[in-house]
Amino acid sequence: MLSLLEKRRYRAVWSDPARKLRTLESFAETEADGGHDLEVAARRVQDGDLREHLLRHARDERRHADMFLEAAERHRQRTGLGARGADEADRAYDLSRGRKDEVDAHGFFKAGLIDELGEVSYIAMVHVAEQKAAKIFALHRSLVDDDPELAAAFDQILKDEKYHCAYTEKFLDKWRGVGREKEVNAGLKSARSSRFIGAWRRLGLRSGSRFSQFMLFVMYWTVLLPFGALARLGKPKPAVRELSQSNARERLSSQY
Amino acid sequence: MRILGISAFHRDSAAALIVDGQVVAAAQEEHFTRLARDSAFPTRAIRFVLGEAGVEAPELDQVVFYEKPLKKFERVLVSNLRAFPRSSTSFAKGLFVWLGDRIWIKDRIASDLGVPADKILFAEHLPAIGACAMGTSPFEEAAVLVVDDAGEWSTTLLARADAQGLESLVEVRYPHSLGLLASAVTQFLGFAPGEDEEKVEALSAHGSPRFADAIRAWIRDEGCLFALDEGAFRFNFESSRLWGDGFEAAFGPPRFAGEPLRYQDSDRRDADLAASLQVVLEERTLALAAELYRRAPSRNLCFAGSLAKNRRLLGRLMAEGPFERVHVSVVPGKAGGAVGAALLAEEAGVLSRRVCESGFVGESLLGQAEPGAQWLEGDPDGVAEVSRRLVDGERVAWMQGAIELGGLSGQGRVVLADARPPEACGALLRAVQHVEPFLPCRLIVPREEAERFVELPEGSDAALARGQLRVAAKQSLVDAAPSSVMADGTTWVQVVDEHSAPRLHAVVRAFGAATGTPLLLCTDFKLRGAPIVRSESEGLDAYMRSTLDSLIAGPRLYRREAIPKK
Repeated sequence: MLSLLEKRRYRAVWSDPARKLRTLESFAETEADGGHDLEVAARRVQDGDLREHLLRHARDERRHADMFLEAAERHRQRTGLGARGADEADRAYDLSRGRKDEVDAHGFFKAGLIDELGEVSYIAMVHVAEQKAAKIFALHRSLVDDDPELAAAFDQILKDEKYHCAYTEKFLDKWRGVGREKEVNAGLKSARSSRFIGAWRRLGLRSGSRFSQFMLFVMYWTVLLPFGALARLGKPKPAVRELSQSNARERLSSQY
Repeated sequence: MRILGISAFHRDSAAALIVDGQVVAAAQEEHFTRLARDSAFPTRAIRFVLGEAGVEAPELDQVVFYEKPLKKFERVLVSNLRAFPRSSTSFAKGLFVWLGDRIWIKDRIASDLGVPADKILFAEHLPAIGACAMGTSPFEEAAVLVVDDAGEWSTTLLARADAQGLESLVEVRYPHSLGLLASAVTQFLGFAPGEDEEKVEALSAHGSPRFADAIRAWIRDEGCLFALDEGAFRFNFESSRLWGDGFEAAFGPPRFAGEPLRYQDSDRRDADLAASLQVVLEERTLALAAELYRRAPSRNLCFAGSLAKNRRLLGRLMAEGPFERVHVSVVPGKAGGAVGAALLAEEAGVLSRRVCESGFVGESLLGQAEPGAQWLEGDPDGVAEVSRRLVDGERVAWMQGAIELGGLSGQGRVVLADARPPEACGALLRAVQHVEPFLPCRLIVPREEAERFVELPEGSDAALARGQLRVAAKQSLVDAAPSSVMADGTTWVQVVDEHSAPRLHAVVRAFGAATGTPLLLCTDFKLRGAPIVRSESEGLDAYMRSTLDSLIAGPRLYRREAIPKK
């Protein structure tokens, strides 16, 4: 049921050119962050085998980021949409994506988090994130048949995700086998609950942002209508203004 | 004093850390997120600059944001009201962003960084960009010209700077903006406004300015400066279409992205429009420089803002402007605002010192080899290997030292090729996935040979060393490296010497010794749509996705066939 709802939401994403661009860029950003974080983690771990896996994983994530960026660029060329940031008014999603809370790599962890979590919990979290990512990307893949290059990119990514799930699982099993089962289970449990809380928060932000924009639209046609009419009647400010002011330190404390 | 400067929410978000009047680290958010021109709050860049200097956020003396948020909010609100009722959609979207996030930037900085609110300051947008130009210049005093798209209200600023600081003299206010005029034409031609103005500049080389009078008619003299005819543009209420109906009446239908570009043979409408815009921007900027010289007579000019990226305009400003010496900001755009904002909070006198000579203040190569690396024995910088491979006709990606700030890599992350073959430029750009056939490559020439090939404007050494100018090509260049010369007879040139770019200079010298032609073509090491590569592993990924022949990163060589397959 949940996946049907998700599929419906994702279909709306891919059929709207602007949302498609934002989604591709947001995927690219998440993958790039993931690569950065995994690179940091690879420098911290003692096990040489795990380090090799993490480095390879980091490279995969960056490659995925580039694939999404290329897809975004192709889409931009086809549609003429500007890149993020070119258009000040269209960046409401910056907030709705909850950037303030730094939904970083893989949707929920921050770069360098291995220092905070420790090796076992970190790998548990990567494992849970990769499992979830594989499911989400498979859903997306099923909806982009009309874009063969993007479909091929998803296919490649899904293949990589299998490897990411497999090597993290291998290490979790290895740690279980040496008496660290409790640690592994606690890590998995904590990762799953973080995902749930994160998803709930994102849902809240998304609905909140839609409602706020609707209210602002209503306000525009009611409360602001007389002010708008007055503003149009008023004389515009002159284009050129003489200043003669120093940009001294004292003036820096004001936000105006 | 440890001062963190931050720019965000427009384009090229960045963070810069200044310790005792020197820039110790600076980075753009795009270096880490891999989203070109990323405008998000630069969390990752801040993390990097603090880490680079070993400073914890609570130890900062000041944090300076490069803009006055309430002043900008006022501009957004008033502009939307004045455009009533056409601004209904942009009002809801814009106000949502402002009320939900931007206006609380002080709280956000305080909570994210854990610094007390009284340590958080706010510079003004254009003065911050101008201060960056002054701080990176060799001048003790100078006139400062900033021509940008838009700051809070100001779009153009005439100022002067010396040991006492920066004094603003006169400004042109939104929506009267040469930067936005350029963006409107860029969008009309099917490119991304605010990003692809450089492509429009390159396109202008193929056209003649037959529409210049139509554009001039939308700009009137206002006092000693200028004002736009507001009816010709739609900046105030529709960012997805910045140009008004008059554009179609004057130039015909707009070009949409993906449609063929009209710049060749008998139909050159798009190139002609680009050339017309170029002429008008040059005329207006030269007039601004003349007015600034009248108000702030000085031998020196510091130039910054979005128009300071226009290489042909810079060439004319240096050749025809009233100032003897012109310094173009090392980071002319929004990212420079992070450096400039921090400088404005520094003690008096800092602007008359040079705080940063180059943009080399980002993350360095870590010295960690990627799988498949071959170590270059006795060649720590890769100079000999790069030269040898270029002589063999290879196209080589070369990474060395730190990533530079400002969206242009002068030498740290570049792709090089032999300049002599007639199709060299197109082939090099295609190798890194750039598809517009009219885009130029940068010509690298050693200082001691430069006058043989190009006309060098007086007082432009620093700008030439950073590759910021387009100058007239001599016949010897047309003969030796035809693909480096643009259709209007100019070339985008970087003149290197053993001080400004010792390793690149050594490479082009060695190439010249072996081939008799000391000329190389160069472009930034980035794939289409992505920012310049940062780390060695990113470089390796980009190399594998390109059709370049080899990658040299510090003392390591990568060849496609030696990279292990998964």
